Amino acid sequence: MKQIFVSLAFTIISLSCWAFQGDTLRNCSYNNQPVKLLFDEILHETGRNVFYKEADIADVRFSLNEKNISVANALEKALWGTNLYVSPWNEDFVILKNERLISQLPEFQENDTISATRKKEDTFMSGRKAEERFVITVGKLKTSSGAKCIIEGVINEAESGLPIPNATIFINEIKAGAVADFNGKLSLTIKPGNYSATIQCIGYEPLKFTLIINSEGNFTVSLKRSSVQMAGVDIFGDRQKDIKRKDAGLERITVKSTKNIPVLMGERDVLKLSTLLPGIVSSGEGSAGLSIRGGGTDQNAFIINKIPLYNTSHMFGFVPAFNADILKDVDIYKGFVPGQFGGRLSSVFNITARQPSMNKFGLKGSITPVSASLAMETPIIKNVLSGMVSYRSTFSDYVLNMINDKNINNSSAYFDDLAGGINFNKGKIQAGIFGYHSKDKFTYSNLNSYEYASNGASMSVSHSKPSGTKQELTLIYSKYDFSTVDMMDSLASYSHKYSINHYETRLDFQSTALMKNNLSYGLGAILYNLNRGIVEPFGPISLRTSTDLGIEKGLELSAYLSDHFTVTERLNVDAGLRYTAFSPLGPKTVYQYEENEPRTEEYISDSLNFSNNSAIKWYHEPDIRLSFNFETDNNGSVKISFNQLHQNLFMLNNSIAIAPNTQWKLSDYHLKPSKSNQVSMGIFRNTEKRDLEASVEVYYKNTDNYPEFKDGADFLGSSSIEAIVLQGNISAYGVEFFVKRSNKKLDGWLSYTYSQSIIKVDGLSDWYKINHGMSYPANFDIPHIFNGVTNYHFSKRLTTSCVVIYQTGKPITLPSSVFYVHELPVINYSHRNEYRIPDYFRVDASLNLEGNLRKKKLIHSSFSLNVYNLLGRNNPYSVYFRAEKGVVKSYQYSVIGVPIFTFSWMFKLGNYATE
Amino acid sequence: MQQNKFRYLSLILLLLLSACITEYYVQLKPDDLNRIVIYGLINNQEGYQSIDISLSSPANKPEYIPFPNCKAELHTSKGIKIPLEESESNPGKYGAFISRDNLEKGTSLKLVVETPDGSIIESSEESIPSESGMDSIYCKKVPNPEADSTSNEPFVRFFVDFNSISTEAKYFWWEEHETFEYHANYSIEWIFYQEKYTHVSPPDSSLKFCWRTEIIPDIILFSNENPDKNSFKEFPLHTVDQINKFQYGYSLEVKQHSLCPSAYNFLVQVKSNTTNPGGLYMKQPLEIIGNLKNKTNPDQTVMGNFGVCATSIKRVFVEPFPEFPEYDYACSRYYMADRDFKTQSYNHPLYVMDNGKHTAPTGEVLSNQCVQCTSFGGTTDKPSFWPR
Repeated sequence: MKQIFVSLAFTIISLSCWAFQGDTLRNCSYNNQPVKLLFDEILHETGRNVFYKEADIADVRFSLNEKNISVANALEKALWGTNLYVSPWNEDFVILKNERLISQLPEFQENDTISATRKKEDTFMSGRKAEERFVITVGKLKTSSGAKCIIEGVINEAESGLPIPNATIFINEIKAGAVADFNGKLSLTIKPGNYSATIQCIGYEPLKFTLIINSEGNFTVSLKRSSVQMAGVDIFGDRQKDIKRKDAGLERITVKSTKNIPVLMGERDVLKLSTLLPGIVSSGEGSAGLSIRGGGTDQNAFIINKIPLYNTSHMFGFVPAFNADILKDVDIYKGFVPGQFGGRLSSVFNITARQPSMNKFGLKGSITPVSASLAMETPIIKNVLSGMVSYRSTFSDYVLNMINDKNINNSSAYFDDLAGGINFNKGKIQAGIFGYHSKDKFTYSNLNSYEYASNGASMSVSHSKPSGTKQELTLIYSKYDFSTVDMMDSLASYSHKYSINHYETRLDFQSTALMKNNLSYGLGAILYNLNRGIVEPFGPISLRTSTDLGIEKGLELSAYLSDHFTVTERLNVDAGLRYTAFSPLGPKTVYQYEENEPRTEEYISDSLNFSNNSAIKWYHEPDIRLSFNFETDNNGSVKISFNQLHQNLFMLNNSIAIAPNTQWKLSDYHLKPSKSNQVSMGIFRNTEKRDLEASVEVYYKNTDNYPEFKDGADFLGSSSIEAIVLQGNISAYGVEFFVKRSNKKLDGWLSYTYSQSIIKVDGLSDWYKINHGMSYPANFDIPHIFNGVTNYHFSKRLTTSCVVIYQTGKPITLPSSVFYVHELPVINYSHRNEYRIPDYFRVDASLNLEGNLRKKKLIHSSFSLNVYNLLGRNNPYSVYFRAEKGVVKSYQYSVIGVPIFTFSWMFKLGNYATE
Repeated sequence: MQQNKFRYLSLILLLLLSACITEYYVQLKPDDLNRIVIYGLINNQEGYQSIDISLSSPANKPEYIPFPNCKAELHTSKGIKIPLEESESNPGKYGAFISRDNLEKGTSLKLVVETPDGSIIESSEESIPSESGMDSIYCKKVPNPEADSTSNEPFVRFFVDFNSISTEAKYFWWEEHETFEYHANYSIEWIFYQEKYTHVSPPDSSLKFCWRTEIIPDIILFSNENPDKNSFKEFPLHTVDQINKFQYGYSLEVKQHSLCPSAYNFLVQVKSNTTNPGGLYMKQPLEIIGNLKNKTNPDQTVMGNFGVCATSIKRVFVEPFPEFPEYDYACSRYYMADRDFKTQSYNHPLYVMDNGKHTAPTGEVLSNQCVQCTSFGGTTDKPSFWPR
């Protein structure tokens, strides 16, 4: 309360002061226009800067019809009704969200927040700041005519060389300045002479210097990041934090936030972290799959710098496929999906890699019990061209050899990944190349072996115009391949190789030229080329027969138009249309079957032959995307979205977990693309005082043509998938609760999800039914999920975290009875997914220690001690029966039933704050 | 210190690789218990044929539970109804003599069962397929895939050359029974019973020679996807991984069934569930669905299947492989103190080792397995088909 009074008093005094300054705007006439225009006008007319954060004002529009109004009044009126407040700052103004700038702390404020704890620590990092003033000279010295000339400047980050959008330059003598565009570029028209200039931007240390202008020319200025952190521990990025702007169903994970969360092998994993958020659930330990809002594990698109990934894990899901050191953040779209994305029904994981620094060499790495990694970034041509490379590899084999077990001795587990990129930024042109490689090899004694690899590359060139348009052309290639040798049953041993190739080109446009609209539109084409491989008998006594699963090709063409439209101050609409056309391509022989008869050989009525690259069957339909965002007040909003998506590529999987040798398969003549419609609504609120944010979201999703395997389907036995896969319907609905506390000594979040996901495959005849045509829960139907994450920050250096996970047991088809056939006992199973395995409960903990906080140091280290499954619970993964000595026994299979302790070390060049 | 680090790391990885498998107790829903199971496979051989009607048992307590007092009939496509009588000695088994007229190729059969509570259960109509013939059955040695320095004995695999007389025979199932001769290690020569030695002379070998017949549990199925092909060579049957079975001869009876589609589909499902190993990436099991429906209570699931087939039978005898090593069955011999001799021999006779000269026993006692081949499950009755 005291704080409010102090702020209020300060505001009143400040406003009074402004009134005496006499700075006025002569004529203000705006009608529902971006507030940025007013700031530009203020700079133009009065020479005063208005500092703000671009994200804060992005959606703020105002109307004002006044003459000779003071700057302060104009700003107050323009921002009335928003959560933005104006504060005077020296001769300028600062716009802050939910607070005003205060000159001193209120009396007796208790230092119970983490910010207070950090104050001392930040002193170490900041050190003493010397008053520096230097000179920048532009143009060649020549006889001046006194005419104005144009000078162009580039403002970038000192640490990384990356451009700083919206940085401002102010020339004191002429009381004028300019604002940098999103490439950090600005221009001034000014007479030659000596000037006193200031460049500033929130989050950076302001730079005052003498600007000597001789003639036309260019200059570059680098700003240092402010070492004072606004918040030490961000679990989510700004977009998530700002509840008013959060899209329904959007989650953002920063790599930084993964640092404290306990993990299994000491490897930071953004995807596993995502499973602690509402509506996202892992398909289990030892599996990479995620189920989102009642969708299948193949319904999520994982994209890293525009490269689609068809396998996201090393070591069967225990280790993430990406090295966290090269990642920046992950946007997860599970509700409203922007028009530029398509092709998966449930979600998009848009993973963004770091942009390598343009002017500073950087190195970071880590060592965990199973692997070591190193990432390096360096400028190649300062401020123009920079590069980055990272490599990670396991070294677990030597440990296997030391274990006194014959099978483990003869086993090996290996993975590595390599990623790298080059960024170019000159003038209005930006270009980037990014490459990714990941490989796994696992051999268990002489019983089976898996080898799988992902490779991908993307190359993009973009051109930006100051008018607010941007065009980008991207070429993308991705490949996933695996080979398997299975010798578990020597009579059925086989080898199999598989590959999927993805070639994509896309052209994207963005435009903010229209005042109320933020448009994006584009075109794309994808060519899929799958070689499902040949299943060959392996070993001298295998009874397998060689089976050619065939090759598949498919072409997907798409166009999209998406608009963010500001209807009123409180209502924004996102509308999008994506039109996709897909066809499988020849060469192919397609069998046609008698109507409503089983798709088996004896019911083949005709066969169609398609030549190479000829379209077999076109599927095309629009995807409609709509989202309404209504701000109820300054602290809350209601969001409603409708989302339509199509999917042409499926996983052929009939095991509980996703095995590395799970095949992807295209829609074909018989297997239609899946289609889903999702309606979701979210209520979002935050309370400023307690730093709490909360949300409740409900959704209903209906999916048609969902491919489901028939009982006993063998995906290695035949190329005719239509004989073993049927298509049905999934109805999924749920409610998600989320509460988060930030920036306190004790912070974290709680989430609870209730959801159902029910499948029904009920064709016209018995052959087209699964589970007798009755509804049954999907493999990923987990009604109750509770996740709790708590962090306790003893100091900026020492943090302990704890994760608690509870889930209802997964559905399972249980052995229910025994009967006899020809004297042999036969185990029969229940209806599909009729039972559930016991509930899942796990507690993990971690202790993280940062190195000292000195500003000047060569290397900064941090250490992490993790305990996975602290309580050592045998969480069941599956249940199976086995006949032993005439008695059928049931077993519960737990992947990890003991506490796992790991210790990892991370290091980087620089200090604590170095990114 | 370094050594310790390695040990800790080893422990961690060992734990990671050691997934936990513990016994699990299932609480089944009442609907899943005691379901009616009807199974029958009528072949084209004239004679007495039967079907089984039983109740399913819980998976963790498997037992055959006959379901008596039903009324069962076979309805043929010729309009003939053949009542199946319940066997007095085998409750739950219902059979009848079926004449060749009703088993001709193309004749359809349907099973109709009325349970004691009046429910009517019917199968679909199944047509007797074409017969197929077996040209020859033979075996070959194949490498042992698990061979290592301690054991490198080969396996023996059987093959069949067969033909389907017409292309209408498409689905095949081979039912195999093996019979092999084996010997106990010793004849009975000295018996100590109730503090007294008895010398058996000449030594009693009546329990030394046994024959054992077993069903091969492998479900070997074949679907001929090539309509133009009706002759097949070297089709693999089962593999014998215990070569001691060949030591004194081995006989194999093979029944080659040409199945109707429903019988084949049913066995495919049975095989799928039987061969599922369990574990992380196991294929999801399935509910076996046959062709029987409860017409009175359609919601009540009837397990099992009714099918028809055309069957041909062949038996082969395999002479011992001379290159295979001689094999002794497990047999323990142990020395016993005099006092224990007396105590134990009151309850049952002790078989005692001869001194090698047939003149006196030693103090070495032979376990029952050493002198009684029936301990291993076989019979001393020589099968009629045994050649020697």
